Amino acid sequence: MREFKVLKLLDRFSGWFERRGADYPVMRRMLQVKLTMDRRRVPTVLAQMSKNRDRAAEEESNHFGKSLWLYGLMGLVMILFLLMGGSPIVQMGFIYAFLMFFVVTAVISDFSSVVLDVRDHHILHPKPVTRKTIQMAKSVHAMLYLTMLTGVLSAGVLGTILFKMGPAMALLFILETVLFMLLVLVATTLLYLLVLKYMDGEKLKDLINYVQIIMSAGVMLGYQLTVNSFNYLDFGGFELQWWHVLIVPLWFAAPFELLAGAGGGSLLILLAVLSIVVPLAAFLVYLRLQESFERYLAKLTEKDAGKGRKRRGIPLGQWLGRLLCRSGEERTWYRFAAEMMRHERDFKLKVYPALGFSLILPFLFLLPSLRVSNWSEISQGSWFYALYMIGIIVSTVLLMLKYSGAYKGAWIYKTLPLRHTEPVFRGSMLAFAVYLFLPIYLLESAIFILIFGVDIALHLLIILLGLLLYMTVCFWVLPKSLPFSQPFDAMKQNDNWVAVLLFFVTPVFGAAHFGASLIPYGLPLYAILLIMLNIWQWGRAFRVPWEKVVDS
Amino acid sequence: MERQEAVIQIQDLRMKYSDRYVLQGIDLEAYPGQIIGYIGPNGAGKSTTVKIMLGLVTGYAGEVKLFGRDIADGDPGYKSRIGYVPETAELYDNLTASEYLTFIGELYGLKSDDADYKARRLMDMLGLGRVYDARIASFSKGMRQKVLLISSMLHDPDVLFLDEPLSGLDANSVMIVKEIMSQLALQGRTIFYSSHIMEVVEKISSRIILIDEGRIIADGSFEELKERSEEGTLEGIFNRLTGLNNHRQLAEQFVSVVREDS
Repeated sequence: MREFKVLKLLDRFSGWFERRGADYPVMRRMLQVKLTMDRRRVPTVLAQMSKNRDRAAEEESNHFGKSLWLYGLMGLVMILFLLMGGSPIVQMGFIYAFLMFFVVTAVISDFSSVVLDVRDHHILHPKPVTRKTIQMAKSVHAMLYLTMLTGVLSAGVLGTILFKMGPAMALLFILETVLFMLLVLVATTLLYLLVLKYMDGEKLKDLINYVQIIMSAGVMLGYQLTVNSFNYLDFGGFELQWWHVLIVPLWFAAPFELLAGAGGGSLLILLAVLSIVVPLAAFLVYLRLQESFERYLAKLTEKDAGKGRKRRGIPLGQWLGRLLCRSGEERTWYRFAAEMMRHERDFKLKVYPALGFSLILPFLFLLPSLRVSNWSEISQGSWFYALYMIGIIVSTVLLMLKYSGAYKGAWIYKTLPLRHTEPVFRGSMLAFAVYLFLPIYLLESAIFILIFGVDIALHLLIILLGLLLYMTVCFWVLPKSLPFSQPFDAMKQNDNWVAVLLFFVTPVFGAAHFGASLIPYGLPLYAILLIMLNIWQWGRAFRVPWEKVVDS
Repeated sequence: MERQEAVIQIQDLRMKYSDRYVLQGIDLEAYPGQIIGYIGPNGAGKSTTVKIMLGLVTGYAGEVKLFGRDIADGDPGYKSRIGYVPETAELYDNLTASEYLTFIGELYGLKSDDADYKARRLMDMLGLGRVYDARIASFSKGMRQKVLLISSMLHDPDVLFLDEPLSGLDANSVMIVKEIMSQLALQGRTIFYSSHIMEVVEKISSRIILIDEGRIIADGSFEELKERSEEGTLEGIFNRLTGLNNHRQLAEQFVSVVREDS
């Protein structure tokens, strides 16, 4: 096992830990093991970015180090806030808001697996080690992680501040960031404490899953929005209001305004004082509550079978299933696929961020035009064609359909008396269309009708029919593996290229649509053609002979 | 045989989870050299008893003494004389076997090099020498179980708590592990061991404790239990004492539901 430099640094404070009742050598050894394991864990952000997790190559690579680099790059975005002008409180307010988003989401998604590691309970507690030592190791581990994360994220900003505003400001930044870190640590721990107190293990895991989904989507969106947002925001006159006390990032920004000497005001001083007092007070509470945290953590180890309640499907989904599936067997697979898509955590983590992203994507195309024209002008135009952009989920999600966190259950395909693969494929494709695609489409259509008026209803119908047909095209092109039968680790880089290439097929549908709109009666005729093509394709496209099914 | 001092002394142990009593007054003493089979139906309180003795579960009522000392005094020192194989088979599996075993050895107070040397030889003897430096995540269930067994014995404990220690092991390994247990017992170690496989418990235990609904309902050697019951096997005794007398009817009902026309 390797020796970590951080631990050497920690050695200097060994006296402090001993005084607080921890057995330092043992604690140090625990930290060493935990840091080693961190290096081998793949963080959520990284899993999003590099999908080629090649088993063989990953052996000794430092995943954690790599993800730190990524965070460092994200952190550079914050420098823009410093360059755009405005008063220090506005600039720093934005920076701390940004830091808060990144740090909190990273802590919850990546670090929850560490903080909530129930293996500690089984492995460490039966050993002749005091609880104090275990708790201390855990806290120090959390602090080390946070320090590294925050340090990397804010390194670019720190450099810029030092360069532009001088060492005094830089020093203040370090101080305020440390306080900020304390607050984040305490706040997330308290959040967990609350959740652990009132929820059981399974619900908690679901909650963490949702946070991870939100974070992944947030990172995707973050890039797009920051690029766009600078053009629209006006930072000119910023007037401090009493309700700004509620905005935590402003607490940490206030001292910068004070140091810049732009004048005081009691409100500003109050904010600055809050940024110091609240984190320190929270930390004292944290030291108190650690004991009970461990106690609640034990709840995660309890298995609470029997508490499950019957999950009911969405009535509309069931109704559509009865309508569209042609046999009982197909309906069974339809229901199975729907359950898997809605409840399997790994699948949700990989797919739902893309769903969220596709929800926003059409509007990202509307935004640039908003700068040159106003809403009423846009609503007269043909921007509703941007709805074709949600086609991006079709290729990406269909590509993911064969993966699952519970892929080991796929042995049932082999042992079941399945004569044809058609019910499996058609059922799961229908489930995708009804449960994942349709909600997105309906939501977008509703918003589009609000913008463009009811007149575009026929256009929207044509887009729906076009995308449904596009699904069968995607199915035809993509390798045909049984749904949920392979581990996510097996995901390959070149698969993504197929998805991207397939996405470029959607403009073809858009072009045909546009062409039809130029001809008299073109649109209704095109719609009828699409309906016929859909009936034909959805009727026969899923007959895959067993030999053609790709086995892992 | 001279009367030795009890290594485990439990008096009137009670434990309540939210509204349900899982232990309703357990009294128990164990002596060096005993192999105690601790059996009972699911949810009878077996694991809870063991977890209390290991300090994993707190908030019990009654007195628990190990090696003559009350474990409630807060000093975890007694744990260095205990080895534990949990049923959940939890391991830090992204460590290699070498890293994991050395770490555990050190927690038990061994020197790093000594733990490593000892672990390597033990792994070798169980046929895992080849994978000593491989990640545990890549191990099969039987291999992981062997790592767990080794990790519980590295520090030569006086008492071993084993929860389903044979799960996942092949027939040859089962034989070896059973032999290891009896030899350790001969050398004065106490083995406290729970399993659902009655044949194994019947054969290797010098004493069997049957627990049901948080109470001890039978305690003695297999021969003693047999005398008190007309059943010839531990399985039979177990079923009778835990009140299962209608297993044939249950099975008949089950089969008839299986055979229903659908």
